[in-house]
Amino acid sequence: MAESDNDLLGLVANGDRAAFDRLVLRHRGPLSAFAHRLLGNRSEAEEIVQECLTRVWSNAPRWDPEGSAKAWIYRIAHNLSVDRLRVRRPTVDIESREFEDDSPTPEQALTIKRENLSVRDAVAALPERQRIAISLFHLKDMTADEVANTMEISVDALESLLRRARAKLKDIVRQEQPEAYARTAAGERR
Amino acid sequence: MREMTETRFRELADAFGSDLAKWPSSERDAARALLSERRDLEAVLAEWAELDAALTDILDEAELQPRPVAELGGAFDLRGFLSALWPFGGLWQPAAGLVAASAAGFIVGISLTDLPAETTNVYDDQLTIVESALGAETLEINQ
Repeated sequence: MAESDNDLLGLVANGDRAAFDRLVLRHRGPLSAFAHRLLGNRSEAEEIVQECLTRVWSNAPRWDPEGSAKAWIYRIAHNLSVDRLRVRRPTVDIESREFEDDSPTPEQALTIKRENLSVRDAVAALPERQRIAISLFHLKDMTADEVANTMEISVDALESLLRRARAKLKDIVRQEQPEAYARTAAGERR
Repeated sequence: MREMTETRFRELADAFGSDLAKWPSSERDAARALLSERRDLEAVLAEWAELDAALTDILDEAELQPRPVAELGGAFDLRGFLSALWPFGGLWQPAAGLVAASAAGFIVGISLTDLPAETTNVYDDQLTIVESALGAETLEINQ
């Protein structure tokens, strides 16, 4: 039976380097993808991952085994990435962004139509908290509870973030792939 | 706990998509129970399947995996490259010069450093462990 993340992090907390190697093997890719999606920059993402893993190794003895190891690890990456974004935009209070009206301005809507943004671009254009929520939620095997735990918000708050983000993204998919969308909307299983 | 109705099921699908396994644990079982009674609700999930697939694709960690060197521009001619850098004869000459310069730099660096021994610090040790783990991962991927 495969070792759980909690098993591995428990071993790492006791200084087991082989367990740390296995944990890194399992999470480096998803962590990179998550940081890359948030920061939009590959080399910065790799820096975040390296710093995150350094903190995982050094802080593992302080991890609470009652909690989720995966959420704990991703929370470190999340916090490092958000810190990096704050440095880029020091005047933005990202906590308040969740409550802002994030609907596109007429100019932005026109731009979206003109450029026919792909889903990838549309994700990049989401408000920060929505982008974080989407990026975490669509990583392999991340559940709603784990994402909420990682972001340190309630599941209800996560639901609100995801609903708004996905509504915008669904429109993009509908515009790009109208035939495929019509089939799935009609209930045809792929 | 909220009652699981068709309306609530649709709200959850709007937010959490087509895979019930990712839905909040507090409502997952009730949603599955409702779905087993109301197979027509599968169409609600299917509406989101296209977007879920697209999002999973673009967030696929594979896009960030290290690429094999061969993919970066064909086979690399090391001998030709070195010859182009040093067209004056044997390669041992620049190699010896490089080794001598490195040794001199190392000795000077050590002699001028007044940091305490423990400044081979904890962070460096941690970084070494992380880099080692990342290296192990890369080898694994490239196999």
